[in-house]
Amino acid sequence: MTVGIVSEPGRDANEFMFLTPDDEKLKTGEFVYYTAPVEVEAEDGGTKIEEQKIYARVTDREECRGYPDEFMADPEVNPKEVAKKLGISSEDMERYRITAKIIGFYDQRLNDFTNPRIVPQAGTPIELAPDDDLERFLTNVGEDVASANVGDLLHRAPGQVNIKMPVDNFTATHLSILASTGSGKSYTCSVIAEELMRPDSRAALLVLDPHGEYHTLKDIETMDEFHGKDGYSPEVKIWKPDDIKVRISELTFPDLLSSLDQPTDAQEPILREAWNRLSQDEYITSEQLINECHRVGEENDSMASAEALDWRIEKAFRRDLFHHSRHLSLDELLNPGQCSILQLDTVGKRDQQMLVNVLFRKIYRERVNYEKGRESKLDFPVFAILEEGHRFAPASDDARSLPILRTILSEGRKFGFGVGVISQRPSKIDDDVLSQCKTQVIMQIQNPNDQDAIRRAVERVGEDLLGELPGLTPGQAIIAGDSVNTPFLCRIRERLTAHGAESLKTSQRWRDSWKKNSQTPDKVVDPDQEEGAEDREEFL
Amino acid sequence: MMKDEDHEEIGKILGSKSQIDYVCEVYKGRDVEQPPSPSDHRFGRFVAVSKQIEEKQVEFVGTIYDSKIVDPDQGRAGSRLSSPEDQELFHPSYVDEKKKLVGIAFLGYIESSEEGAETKKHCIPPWTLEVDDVVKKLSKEEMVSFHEFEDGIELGYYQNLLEIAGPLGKDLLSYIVSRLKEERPEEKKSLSLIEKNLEFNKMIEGV
Repeated sequence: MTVGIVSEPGRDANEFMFLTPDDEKLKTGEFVYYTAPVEVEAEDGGTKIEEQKIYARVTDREECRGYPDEFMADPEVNPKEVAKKLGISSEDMERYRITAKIIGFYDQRLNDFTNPRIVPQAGTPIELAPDDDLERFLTNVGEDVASANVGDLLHRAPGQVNIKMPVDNFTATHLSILASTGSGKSYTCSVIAEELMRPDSRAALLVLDPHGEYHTLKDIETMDEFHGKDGYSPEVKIWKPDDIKVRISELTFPDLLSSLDQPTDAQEPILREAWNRLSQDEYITSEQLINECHRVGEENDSMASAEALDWRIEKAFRRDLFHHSRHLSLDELLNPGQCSILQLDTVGKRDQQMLVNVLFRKIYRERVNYEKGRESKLDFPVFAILEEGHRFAPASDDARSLPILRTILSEGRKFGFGVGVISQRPSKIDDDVLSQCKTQVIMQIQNPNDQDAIRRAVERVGEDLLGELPGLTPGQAIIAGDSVNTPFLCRIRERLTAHGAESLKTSQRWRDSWKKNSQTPDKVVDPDQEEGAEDREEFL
Repeated sequence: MMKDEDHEEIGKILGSKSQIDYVCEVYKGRDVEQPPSPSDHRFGRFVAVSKQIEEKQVEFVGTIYDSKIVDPDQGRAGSRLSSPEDQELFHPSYVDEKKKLVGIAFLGYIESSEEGAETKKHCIPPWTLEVDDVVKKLSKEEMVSFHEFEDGIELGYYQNLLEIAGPLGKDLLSYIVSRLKEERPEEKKSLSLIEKNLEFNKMIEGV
C-alpha cells in the first residue's frame, strides 16, 4: 500500500522525508519501506545487484498543509465543515511531511537488517511495511528457537503483528523492564514469566518478589496452555518470608563484617581469625562464633575487644534471615520447568540485599563450575527476575548485592545465568548493571532523570522513540536491544494468569472501615467480663 | 430548471473581461415595458442567463459585483461654450445614451437534461455567453437553492469571487453569507464564522 512520495533527503545520511495525505496510519514509530537495488551476496560467493525492500521507521511527523486558523475560530464548528462550505474538499486538505530513518534491508544471511546507506530519490513511492514482514523481521526468532510472545506491534491492529522475543537471547544477555509505578512493569514481567514456563521453554525461573505480587503465577500449574503433550507440567513454588533463610556458614567474611554493627579496627582481626577457623564447618551458630572470638581474644591478649563483639554478633544473627542450618537449597529452588517465587514483603531491605548476595553468588558459582566441567548442582541455565532492581544494584548507595550483580551481569552470559532487572527508578540503578541488560522493555516514564538514565544505558533506542516515553499508556512498551532487530513500540498482551498487583481500592476500604467502626456494640459487657479484665491490676 | 415567468429581465450582456467576468447593460425605461427597479440590479443580486448548449438547457448563475454609470455627454462642451465652428454642427441629444452598467461574476451553472434532472456546479462555466444575451434576476429561493448541496450550504466559488470582485469581494461575500444565514438558520454557526472572518480580514487590511 503506497502511503507517500519521497520529497527530499533528511538531516543526516540515514534519513529522508516524504509527503503523505494520511492523517492516521503514519504515526511515529510506524514502519515503511521503499525498494532500491542493493548489492547482496550471490550463491557463488560473489555479489549481485538485487531489488530489495529497504525498511525505515517514522521518526517525526509535521503538518505542512492544513486548515487556516480562521477555520478554527469557533470550537463548536468543525473546520472541515467550514472548508466544505467554501468548496474545499476536506479529503485532500491535509498534507504531512514525515521524517523516516532508514533501518535497512533484511539480510537473510545475517538474520538482521543491513543498512545499504542509500537514501531514496525524490519521487520514490513509500509503502507501508506489510504485517508479515514485520512479524518475521522485527525480532530474530528462528524456526527451532523458543520464543516469548509478549504482545503485538502497537501501530497495527491488535493481533496483526505478534511480537515473539527469542528466549535464548534475552535470558542469556539479561533483560531490563523499566517503567514508572502503575504502567505495568510487574504485569509485563509476569507475561514474560508465563512465556518462560510454556512447554517450549520450561525455564528454571527464580522470581524475587519484594511486594508479594507474583503469587498468582501459581495458576500456571492448572492451565492447559502451559502443559506439554509429552507430560510436561510446570511447577510454581512460593517461599514465604519465614521460609527464606541464609545459612550463617554461607556468608563470606565481608558479608559477616557488613552484617555486624560497626566493629572497631581492634575487633576486626579477631573476628577474621575466628571466622577463618570456623569457615570449614557446615553449620555455624552465633554461640560458636562468639566462643571462637573469645578463644582468639585470649590467645592474643585482647579479650576486651573479643567480648565487645558478643552483642554485635548476637544482634546480627538474631535477624530472621540468618539461621545456623536452614537455607534455600538449590535442589529445591531451581529446576527446569519450575518457577520459584521468593516473597520478601516482610524482609528488611538490608536482608533482601544480603539474600540476593548469598543466593546469587551460590547460583553463579554452581553455574561456573558446571560450565568449567567441575562438579555442580546446576547443570542447566537459570533466569532470575529481580523486582525493585534499584534496591539491589543502587547507583549511589552501598549494597551487599551490588558486586555479585555486576559480576553476573557482565559475565553471566557465558555461564547461563541471566537476570531480569525490573525497576521504576532507572536513574537509581548502577550504570554498569543497567547497561549490561542487553534487552530493554521500557514503559511509561515521566521523570526526566530516569529518562536520562535510559538514554545513557540504552544505546539503540533513538530519540524519536524515547520521546514517546511520557505519552505511553499502561501496557505499551518500547522493546529494544539485542533480542530485537530494531526498536519498536509494543502492546503487551493480556496475562493468562490473574494479575496480583492491583492498586488498593482506597476509598472503598475507608468506607468499609468507617462502617465497621461506627456500628453500635452488639451487647453491653460487664466491666469484670470484658477482655483483658484479669490483667487490669498488673503493673505495666 | 427555472421558469421564465418567475424572472424579470434586468438587462443584456454588453461584453466581457474574462471567462467569468461580464458587463451587463441595465434596461432603461424605453428598452422594456417594465424597467427593472434599483433593487433588481443591486450589489450582490444573483442573476442568471439561460442558454441552450447542445442538447441541454444551461443557466449561467452569477452575481452583480460592481456597477458603473456612463454618460457620454459628460465633459462635452455645451452649446453656449462651444466655439462658433462647433456650433455650426447639429448634435442630437445624448440623453438616451446614458447607461447603467453592472459587472457580473458568473459563479457556476445549472444544467438541465431533457428528463428534467438538474446538475448544479460552482465553478468557472466552460461556455461563453453572447452579446445581447438576456440577464434575469434570481428570486431569493433560487439564490438559496443554488447554494444548497447534499451536506448543506456551499460557496464553492468563494475564491473566484474574491479575485474577480477585488476590493469589493469581501463585502460582497459577507453580504451573500448573511443572506444565506437568514434563510438557513440551522447553519448559522459555520456561516457566521465565515462572515466574521471576512469582516475581520477586511478590517485588518485597512489598518
